[in-house]
Amino acid sequence: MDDDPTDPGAPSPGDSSPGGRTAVVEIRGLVKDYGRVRALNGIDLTVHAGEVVGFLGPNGAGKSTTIRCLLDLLRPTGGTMRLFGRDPRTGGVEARRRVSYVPGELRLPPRSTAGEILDSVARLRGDCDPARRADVTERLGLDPHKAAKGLSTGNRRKVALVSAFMSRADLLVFDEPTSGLDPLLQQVFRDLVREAKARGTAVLLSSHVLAEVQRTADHAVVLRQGRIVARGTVDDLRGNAAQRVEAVFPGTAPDLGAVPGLADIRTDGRRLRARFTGDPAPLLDALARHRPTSVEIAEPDLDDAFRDLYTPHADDTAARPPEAHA
Amino acid sequence: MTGALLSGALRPLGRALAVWGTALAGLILLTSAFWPAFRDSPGMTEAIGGMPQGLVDALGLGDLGTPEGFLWGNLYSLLVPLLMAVAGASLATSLTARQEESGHYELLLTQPVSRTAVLTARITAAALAVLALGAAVFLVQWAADAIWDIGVPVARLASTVALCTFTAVVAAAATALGAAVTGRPAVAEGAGVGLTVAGYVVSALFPLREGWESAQYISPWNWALGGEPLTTTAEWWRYLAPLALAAVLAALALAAFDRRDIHAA
Repeated sequence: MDDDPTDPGAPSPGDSSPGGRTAVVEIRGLVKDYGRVRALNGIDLTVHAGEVVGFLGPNGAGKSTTIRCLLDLLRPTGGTMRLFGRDPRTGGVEARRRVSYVPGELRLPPRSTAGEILDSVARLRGDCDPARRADVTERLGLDPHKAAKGLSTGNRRKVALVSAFMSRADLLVFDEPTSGLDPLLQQVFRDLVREAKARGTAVLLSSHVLAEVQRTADHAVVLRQGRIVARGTVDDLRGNAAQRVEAVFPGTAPDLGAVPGLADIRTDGRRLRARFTGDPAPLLDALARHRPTSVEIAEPDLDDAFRDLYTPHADDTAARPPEAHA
Repeated sequence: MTGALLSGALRPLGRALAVWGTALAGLILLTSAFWPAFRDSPGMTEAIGGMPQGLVDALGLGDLGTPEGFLWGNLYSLLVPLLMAVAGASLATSLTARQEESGHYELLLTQPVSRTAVLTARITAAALAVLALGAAVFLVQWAADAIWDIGVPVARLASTVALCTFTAVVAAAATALGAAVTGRPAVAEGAGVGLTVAGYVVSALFPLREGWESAQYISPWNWALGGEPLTTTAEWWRYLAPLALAAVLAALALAAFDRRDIHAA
């Protein structure tokens, strides 16, 4: 993920980064205002061919707004964007030929069947692979004969996912792709993303669920209130993410304030709650000494994981985000 | 590509068109069925003779005893063109602002299609739907003329229905402009119906007030229907002027739609 602020330039189609990889998406200093509200405040984002990039942030952070600017649904207030080397505003039709998008809030024409909707997408795109369409339809378990108005959220999501994966697009953009899907189908989705990546397809995956991004993405960018607060490989970010610790003890919960990495400790009778980052050994030792009756160390949700990044500190906002360049 | 966009826009219109067509056909047949009774009761024309001339003209009651006067007063001076214009505004809203409000534009506009191509297809679809409605109105009126022996020349019927249809095309184009600028169904439909109603009021009521007569000529309604096309052969410009206005409104709509944010669902 290159993040070179000295190069806001306009590369020609097929332009390559210094590493020799083709940049599929290049966003520099993207700003979007709604009236007096600044929804995006200087977003930089690069996605290379064959790369899966996670776009993380709580609801309202600006993930969808960024994607909708990139796809020319929204007109940015400032900054530059390149989609396959083209300005989405002027070259969007050509650029979108290579992009397939699954919106977060998906509405379908109510009286059409799933199959008819996929047919009309295929006609508009002209790059759909019938064999892949049949394969993905079957793996997601979508009944193409059902009318859209009778489809559940999960089934509508399947229609959108088939429409994306059946294309030969070079970039797949997903906005909260697995909401409404059961765990088995989420696994199918992850498999499909991996297969797409293996074909050289780039994927931009927006989500507020860390686990989803963690299991599929190579890199992730974390958004908060229209700014990027962290970026790096998923492992880097995971190392910085605080886990939730909850333990119950036979007697009054002990004071574990001395354990390195443990923060926000709250005790309530026999119960202790805290957040934890870093090397788990000292924590496990300390817990074991007090013979807890139960211990839960949970996968952090995004708000927990990046609370430090999210809490604005007026003195050092610029210094804190862990910058990791790929 | 254009074909796919147009057929995609036209497909969901069938049901709405059938409803509007049935409603207008019912109105025309019911009204026309009263012609024999009107023709045979001279008392009706005498009652109208007692009303002030301005009011008679405004309500289009000029000469209910003649076949042309009967159809004009009961159907074509207000009801049929107004209903057709409301249908045009409603169909155009369902093709544009309603699609955006309900989030259906999101999937469409992120395909490799331009906004201009999408809106052009939708305005074309609305115009075709209004023309289909006009054709239905003409056929039903023609049949009614034969059934109840009304006896209006078919060329006059065709001309009148065509001018009503063009009034509806203007309403649809104004709706498309409202939708293109705001994306809101209420504004879009309001623009189409509002322009039509304002046009009618200016055309029918302003001439009643001294000094305001010339204002009627700014009304698109007056351009199309001000010459009472059932009784007088309409001048060529009465066809052309509404269509030219519709073309200007459509061009403004395309320009406006390409300049703004698309609303999320």
